[in-house]
This record gives sequence, C-alpha cells and structure tokens, in this order.
Amino acid sequence: MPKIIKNGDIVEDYWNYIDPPKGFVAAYTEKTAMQTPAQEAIGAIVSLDHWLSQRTQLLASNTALGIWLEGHSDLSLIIDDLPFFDVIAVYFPAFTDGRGFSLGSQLRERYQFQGELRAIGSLLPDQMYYLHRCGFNAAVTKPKDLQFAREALTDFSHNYQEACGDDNPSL
Amino acid sequence: MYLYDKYDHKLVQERVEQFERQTERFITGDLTDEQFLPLRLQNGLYIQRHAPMLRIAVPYGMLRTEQLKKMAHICRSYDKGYCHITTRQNLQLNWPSIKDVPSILSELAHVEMHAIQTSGNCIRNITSDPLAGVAPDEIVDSRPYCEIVRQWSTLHPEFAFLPRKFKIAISGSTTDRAATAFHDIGLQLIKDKNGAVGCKVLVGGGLGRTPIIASTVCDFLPEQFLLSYLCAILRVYNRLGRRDNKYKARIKILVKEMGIADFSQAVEQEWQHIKDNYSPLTPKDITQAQGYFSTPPYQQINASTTGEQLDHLALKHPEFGRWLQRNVNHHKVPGYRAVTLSLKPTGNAPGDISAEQLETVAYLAEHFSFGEVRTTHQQNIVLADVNSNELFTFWQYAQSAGFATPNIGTLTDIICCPGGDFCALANAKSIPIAEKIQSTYDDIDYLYDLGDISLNISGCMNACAHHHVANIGILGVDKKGKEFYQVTLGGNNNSRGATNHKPAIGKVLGKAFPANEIPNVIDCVLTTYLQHRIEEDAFLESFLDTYKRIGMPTFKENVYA
Ligand code: HEM
Ligand code: SF4
Repeated sequence: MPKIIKNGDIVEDYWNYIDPPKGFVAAYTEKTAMQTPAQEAIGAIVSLDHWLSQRTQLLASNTALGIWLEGHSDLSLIIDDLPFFDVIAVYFPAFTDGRGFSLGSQLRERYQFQGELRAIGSLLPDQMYYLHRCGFNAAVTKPKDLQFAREALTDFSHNYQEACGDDNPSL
Repeated sequence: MYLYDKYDHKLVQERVEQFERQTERFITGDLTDEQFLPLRLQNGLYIQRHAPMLRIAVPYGMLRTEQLKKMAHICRSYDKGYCHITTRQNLQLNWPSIKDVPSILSELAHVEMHAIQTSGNCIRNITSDPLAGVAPDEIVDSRPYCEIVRQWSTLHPEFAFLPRKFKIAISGSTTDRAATAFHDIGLQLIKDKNGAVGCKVLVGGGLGRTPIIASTVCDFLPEQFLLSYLCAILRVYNRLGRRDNKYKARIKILVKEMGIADFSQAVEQEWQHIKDNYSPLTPKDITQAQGYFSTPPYQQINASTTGEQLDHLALKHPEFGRWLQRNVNHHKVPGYRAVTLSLKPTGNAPGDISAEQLETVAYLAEHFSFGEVRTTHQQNIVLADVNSNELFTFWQYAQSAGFATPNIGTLTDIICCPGGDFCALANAKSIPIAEKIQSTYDDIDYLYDLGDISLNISGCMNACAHHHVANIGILGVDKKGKEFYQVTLGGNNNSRGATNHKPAIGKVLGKAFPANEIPNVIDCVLTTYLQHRIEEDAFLESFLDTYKRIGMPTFKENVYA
C-alpha cells in the first residue's frame, strides 16, 4: 500500500485513483504499488474527464469520492460539485510548474474547500513548507523522499506574509 | 534605513541552512542538476561563461556603511577585488568559486544581506527611486512600501515557481525614476483628492525580445489593499501564464494575449474574492514601515547663503560647477543635496566598483551622508543627504577617488550589460563598445553641450541594459557568426528628468553595423542632432525633443549617406 504524508504524519493511503495522471503513475510505481486492494480502499480519486462523463453513476455508487485536477483545470466546471469530494488532488507535472500552488490556494480561499487537499506528482521535499502554506494538508512524494519531506515541513519558523494555509493543521 | 528584526535574522539564517542542505544533497547526487538549478537560482547563484556568478540583493538599492565594507572584504577575499552594480540596483560577484558560496552567504548574513530571490522564476528584488525620501518632486516616499512588498514577497509560498521571473518597481514622485512602465508590475504611488495614498498599478511592461510598455490595471488602488491586489495579479499570472515556451512566459505576453480588459477583469474577480481574506494594511502598519526610514538629524541650514557660496565656488572652480550641475540633485530639505557618484569614468566597465572604491564610498557616506547610500538603475551610487556647506570638500574627496566625473545623465553615463566578455548568451561584446564611446567623447564641454542624453548597450536581445528605452540604444546581433550592432533611436524610460515625455521604445535606425563603424555612426547621429536642435538663448532643445520633432528619416539619411 502506498504511503503519503498527511497532517504531518506518514500514513498509509487508502484512496485509489481512477484514470490517474500518466506522469504520476510512471513516477509513483517506481517500487511501490500505487493501488490499494479494492476491499481496503476508502474511495476513488477520479479524473476531471471521468467525473464529467460519469457523474451520475459515481454519485450513485456510494463510494467516497475524490477528484484530481491539473494546473490549468477549469474550476468553474466543478465549483458546485465541491461538496461531493472528500479529497482534491492537485497534480504537479513538474516541480517547477507552480500552478498547483495557486490552484490549491484558490480552492481553499476563494471556494472554501474544506476536505483533504493533496499534492501529487513531481514534487521536491523542499516544497512541502510552501505547499502547506498554500492550504495543502497531504502530499505524495517519491517513497525515498517521504521522511525528508516530512522534516522539511519545519524549514522555517516564521513567515512574513499571510497565506491561506496558515490555520491548517500541519501538512 | 530598514534594520532587521529578530525574524529577519532568523529567516535568513534558516534559508542559509536550507541552502546548505540542498547543496549537500546536490553534491551527494540526491538532487539532480535539473532539480538543483531552480533552487540555486533562487539563492542568487548562476553559472556563467567563466565562473559562477552570485547576485546579492540590495532591497530598493539601499546600503549602509558596514554593508559596503563587508562587500569590499568579500570582493577581496572571494573575488577579483571588485563587484558590479546591476540595473536592478543589486550587487553582483562575477568570479566567486562555488565552494566559497556558503561562506560568502554567511558573511553577508552578518550585515543583514543575502541573495534570496535575486534570480529564478520568482518575485525578484523590489527596485525604486534612488532619490526616494529626498526628491523635491516626491508625492509619497516609496521606501516604506518597498519594504512592505519586500517582506510580503520574500519566500511567498504561492509564487516561488512562477512561469518566469517577476520584477516589481515602485516610484512615488512626479518624475518616474524607477522605470515602472518597464516592469512586470509597476506601482506609482499617488494621492487622491482627499489626500489618501494609493497607487496606480501598471502591469505587463518589459523589454527583452518583446519590448512592451506596461498597461494600467488600476488607476487608484487604496494603499490598504496593496498586498491582496498584488496577490490577485500574481495568482492570475501563475495559473494562466504560458509555461510551454520560456520566451512567451512573462506576464507581458499573457496581458497581450488576453488583452488588458480581460486580464483586468480576471484580476478584479480574483481580488473581490480574496480581498477580505487578507488583513488590509492598517495605518499602524504603514506608520511602522515609515518608521524604518526615519528622517536623519538634518541641520538647520540657511539655504540662500549656502546657495550663494556654491555659486561663488562654481565660478572659481568650473569643474566643481559642472559637477554641481550634473551630479548633484536638489533636496526636499533646504541646504541639503543628493549627490551621484559616477561609476562611469572613461575606461571603467560601467557599474564595476573595486573594493577600495567601496571603502571610499563607505567613508564618504559615514562622514557626509548619515552612513547610507543608494545604488541606482543607471549603475551609479547616490549619497542622498549631503550638507551643501560640505559639498566642496565632498567633491574633492570624490574627485581623488575617481567618482566625480561630471557626466551623470550625459552620453557617457552609459548603461551597459556584461556582454560577450562575460555572458554566455551574448551575441556580441558590449563593454569594449562602451569604452570606445567613452574615450571618444571625453571632452566634457562637448558632453555638456549635448545635454541630457542616454545611451545603453546590450549584448543580445535579452536587453539587460535596457537599450530599447535609451535615447540611443545599441544592441549586439549575430550575423553569420560575426558581431554586429543594431542602433535604435528615440527610446525613453522617463527616468532622466524628461518629465514631459512618455515612456517609449526606440525605433531601429536601419541595418546593423560592425563594431568599428559604431563610433562613426554615433558621431553622425549626434551631429544630426546638433545641426537641427532649436537653440534659443539659454534654451537648448534636448536630443529626445529634436528626434521627436524631426523624426527618424533625417537621422537615417545622414547615417547611411
Ligand atoms: C552575465 C550574465 C547575465 C545573463 C546570462 C543574463 C540573462 C538575462 C536574460 C536571459 C534575460 C531575459 C529574461 C526574460 O526576458 O525573460 C535578462 C534580463 C535582464 N537582465 Fe540580465 N543577464 C545577465 C547579467 C545581467 C546584468 C549584469 C544586469 C545588470 C546590469 C542584468 C539586468 C537585466 C535586466 C534589467 C533584465 C530585464 C530586462 C527586461 O526588462 O526585460 N543582467 N537577463
Ligand atoms: S543582454 Fe544578453 S549579453 Fe548582455 S548580459 Fe544580458 S543576456 Fe548577456
């Protein structure tokens, strides 16, 4: 079962992905399996396309739902659906692609999303501190980086500016 | 001047430690080249043609004596005995060795300096007017706002991985000496009719391959909303700015592609949602920031008597008179003057300053200007608070240190990039061209007669020397592997007293020239100007005015005759 950083701890991840980002699968399956056995899974994190095309079936299915988005995803397509999602995963195709930082902040700040906000994709441990401050409370890194990523959450002890994630529990 | 509080010290310290860990991981192979690159850039470390280059932040150009002395020490111990003042008011070491970088950063930290966010795709050093706080035409002192934006943008969690670098300039006077129209965001501080402070917000200016004059997104933003509004602009840019092509990734391209109306609307929408989530800047916050820049203990000076004395000295010592005229600015406070030290004597690479010179500047600042100096966009140094009774003594010191070339704002006050001698991206050398022009035109009387005129030289279209906005711009181009130079005329960044001019991008004169023809071309351009300018009594029409009146064709005919 894959591991994830959540609320400051390294824990097992019980969510499965449906139609996950391609780059993510490639990076993630390096050593660990990405999927949780079906009987243990809490729910499914689906792609935006999948959600848009299977919305009725998914809502009827009685499983917990999550959705993954990309930096350029059009939030207006799902704004009214946000309450259906327990998890929103934001995919970072490259660690230098910072759109997800703004997407996360917007979800928390502009759209008041209250569920789990997780960062997935190509991330450096060095980015954990920033992710947390942008409202993320969960992140997936390469398995070898997990421990270091958790430690990097405390890189700084003081911030100059306000940010939307400051009231969050630890990432 | 702003002094660190305990948070600043701690934060810089923690940043140094973080960078040490990153460097270590890079050395052990834990971080790849590709991963380390943006991390080191955000800490000011570039790798250049001959050596790494370390860019050190000088927030809005202000430096204290102990910082100058420390820089002198660093130049001697870790570099070749000199450093460079950039057009964004920062300092640059051109020859440090990578292994020394942590020691340099830690030495800098002792005097409250660092290299954070001087490079990389993040919000860079905030630049401002070198005469902030002392200019007679000032509406609002920009320094407190610069400091507020500096703090806000430092390690901002959302904006550390933008599509491209992001530069902000703030000015607060009627004459814009901060080139706000050529920045990603330009803030012009103003007052509304009730005297409330706010700013006109410009966005999407910049030079480089696609020179664009900024557009206005907001005519009057009340000061309390400054930070949430900046956040809204950056958020729109961060989400929508192009990331597929690094040459199209600056905010200017986004603004151009969306159109200013749609862009403004997107910003406005975002801002309406977030403006109440962020605490507004309270009068207390602003007073506190103003407190960092408290008025120095000026003396009461009888301005009219000292004025007479200066006139008298100027007559007796014409060289001093010229210096007064070109290198000395008026001051808000009667009897005080702001003096520019010229780093552009003939034979000096523009903007370079040696360790000894840094120490002399420190000495001059300590004895004549309350221990503070400002670096300028034109790559000179301003001592902003000199008592006019001491100007003559000051001038003598400055002269013996080689800082008193009375050429500020004249043809030889050239802005020049490192060019082909140092820069891996260059198409052509730029420093030798600057030197050639300086040595050709070192007749002070001739320079005086030419009056206000700007000449900038960039070694390639990245335009580090802002050649587009010079009255005369020179750009290095590559023609089948040979170095050529394209000349532009009529640019203006609105920063050299030409208050009645709008910012403008220069137009290309015609086909490019090899290096050896440049002096001749410049000579033709200047002669054309002198032949056509209007001279009435004491009035001499400026180069820019003449150019605007007679137009490019006249210059073209003469040059290509
Ligand atoms: C030698 C090393 C240098 C390299 C490789 C370099 C590279 C670049 C590049 C690639 C750009 C264009 C970026 C873009 O438009 O997105 C740029 C812009 C710029 N550089 Fe440099 N640069 C160097 C040195 C300097 C120095 C020494 C200065 C100061 C004198 C400087 C000042 C600037 C400025 C002000 C801009 C922005 C121009 C604009 O408004 O578009 N650079 N530089
Ligand atoms: S303008 Fe070109 S040659 Fe000059 S420093 Fe910038 S990148 Fe280098």
